[in-house]
Amino acid sequence: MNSITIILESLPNIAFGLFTTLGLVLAALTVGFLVGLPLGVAQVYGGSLVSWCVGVYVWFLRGLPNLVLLFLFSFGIFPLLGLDLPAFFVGATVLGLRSAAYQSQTFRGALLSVDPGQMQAARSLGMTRITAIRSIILPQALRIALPAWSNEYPILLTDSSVCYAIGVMEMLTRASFQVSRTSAPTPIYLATAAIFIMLNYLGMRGLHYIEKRCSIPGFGYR
Amino acid sequence: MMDTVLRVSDLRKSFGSEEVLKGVSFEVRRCDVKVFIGPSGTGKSTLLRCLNRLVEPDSGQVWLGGDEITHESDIDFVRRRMGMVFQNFYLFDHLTALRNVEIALLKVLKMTKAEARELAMFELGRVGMERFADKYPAELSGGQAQRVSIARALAMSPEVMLFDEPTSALDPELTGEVLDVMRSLASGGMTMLIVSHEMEFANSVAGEILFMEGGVIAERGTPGDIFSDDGGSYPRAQAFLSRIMKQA
Amino acid sequence: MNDALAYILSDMRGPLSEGLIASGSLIISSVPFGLLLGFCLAVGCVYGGPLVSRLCRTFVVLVKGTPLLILLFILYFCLPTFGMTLSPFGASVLGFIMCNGAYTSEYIRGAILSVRSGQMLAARSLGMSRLQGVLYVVLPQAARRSLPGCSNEIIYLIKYSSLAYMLSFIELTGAGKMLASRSYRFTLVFSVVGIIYLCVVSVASFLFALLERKLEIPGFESKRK
Repeated sequence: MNSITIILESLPNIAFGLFTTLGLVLAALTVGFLVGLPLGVAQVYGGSLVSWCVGVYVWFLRGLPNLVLLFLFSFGIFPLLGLDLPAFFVGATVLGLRSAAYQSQTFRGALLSVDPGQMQAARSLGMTRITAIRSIILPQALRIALPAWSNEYPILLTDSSVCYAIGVMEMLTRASFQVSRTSAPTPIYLATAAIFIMLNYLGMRGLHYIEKRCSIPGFGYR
Repeated sequence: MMDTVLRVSDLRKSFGSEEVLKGVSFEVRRCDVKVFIGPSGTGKSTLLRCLNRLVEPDSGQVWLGGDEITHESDIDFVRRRMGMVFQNFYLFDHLTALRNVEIALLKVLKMTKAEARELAMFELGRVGMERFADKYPAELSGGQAQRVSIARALAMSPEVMLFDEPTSALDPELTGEVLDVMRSLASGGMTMLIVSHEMEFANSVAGEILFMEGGVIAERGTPGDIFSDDGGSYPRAQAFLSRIMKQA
Repeated sequence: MNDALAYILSDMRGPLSEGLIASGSLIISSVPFGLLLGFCLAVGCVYGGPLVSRLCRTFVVLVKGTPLLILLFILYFCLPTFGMTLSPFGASVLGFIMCNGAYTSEYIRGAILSVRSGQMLAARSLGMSRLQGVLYVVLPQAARRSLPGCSNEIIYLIKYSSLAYMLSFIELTGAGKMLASRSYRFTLVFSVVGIIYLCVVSVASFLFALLERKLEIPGFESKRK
């Protein structure tokens, strides 16, 4: 069967794209977490000016389409700064900054939903604000945030394919190369879609498992 | 016998392996007020819900008026003739009190808007809630909400009213207003079947008390007989009542 | 600075306005049908028989799991082999409808399921048929509950309409790219394009918030199962 041969032929090449795709997703999740968590904490505990600044950042990064951000950074901002970065880094940066905006709001919501009594109790024991946030509030908030945070995974998986537009060699780019080589779009694109669906499913199962492992009996029922 | 509003014969219902109703039979005549009492989980709520087939009985028969309704295919039509008041009122959250009463009049009885509005306001007045016509359920206290749900059921002009623990979900101070409404309904001649834990209310309003235990009607009699001290003929009911009174 | 300003006002206005209108036409064509599809899928999932609900679930899972761009590629490049050739506009709109429909159906489905079962019980006890109970009691409440989620999805669509450019349909982003490539003023052009999107998204968010406020029922939101 012609289609099967085509798929088998192109699969190795596309599979290499798998590493790039997952790399993008992981990088973006990490950057998003490392930037988003402090932003969320700052927005809740930092006073109104800081809160406003974070708000502007979030408004910006969430209001702009992915594609426009990619073009803006890839063709505009980075060259302007004299940086000639490989497409992967541009993609990871843009996706990461964007994810940070969304994640900051997830963490903000989780922080706000921790019972204010927890902070009162911590302070009454003599803890400083920072210690209380680190040892008491954050561990609870992170658990509360986990389900919503897991949603970033499928979103970033989808967004990684948009990096096709700036030439990152992820799965869609490689798939389209294979299509132009074989002129057989149907088996290749359908197979690529199937791979993404599998990645989605496996990732969500994995995150579900982590959620279960981290859960505390009776916690989270508000 | 046109005087018989409801006749129940050997009603049985199991949920999975648990038999909740083990053959319940009784008759209800016009203007009767019957109160079902008994330990929790003896199927009192299930019994009421089998009457209007919100729960389908496994076997047995129910007659409403002269009509056999257990095997009636158009059950929606039958339900109009029975009014039900739930423990948790189940008012429609997205509608005002007035609209709650009106909606079935408009959609089920196909009244005109003017007719429905007039009847709805009348029924709200009957339960003392006409000033709250434009309030949403969330803005009402429990007692007020329950009264609206009584009005909603009454507006359909049912032949019999079924009350499933109408005050059990209410704070103690609020039960009075609901019980007063039910009292006035009873003295107005409404045929009522009530499941309740309110013993004083049962004593004052019921024509007959039916004590359910173990899925059957174990003992039945007038309030005077059952609640009086020398109830040698009602041992199980007496045992149950003394347990309840001790906790009171 | 003056040079840039002059450029914005004279050279950018034309192409970007056309691009904005093209984006608008994409969105206006997709949103109503996307909502309709989402509604049908949700109702199918909840109230359909075993076969219908499984079909709807499968459709939703497949479409949600496929990146939008790949979906667009499949519709544009693969369908011709089956005899159906879509224009870039057509393929984009179809893809947006499918994607929007799948995500919206999840919100509507969740909202339907969150209406307490007692509401249906009360409706039936008054003699309403199942259909009447669903139409007059469940769906009005579900519609209100799903409003935030659905408006989120519409805003998502406004942003992702830019992907139509990857199918060579020249909407706002595409117009910007072409403009920038001609003039080499990438940062400026894409910044302006970005600001236009920001404005559209912000206005849309504001309008939806207004709509939510208008349809608010006191105490409604807090009544969960």
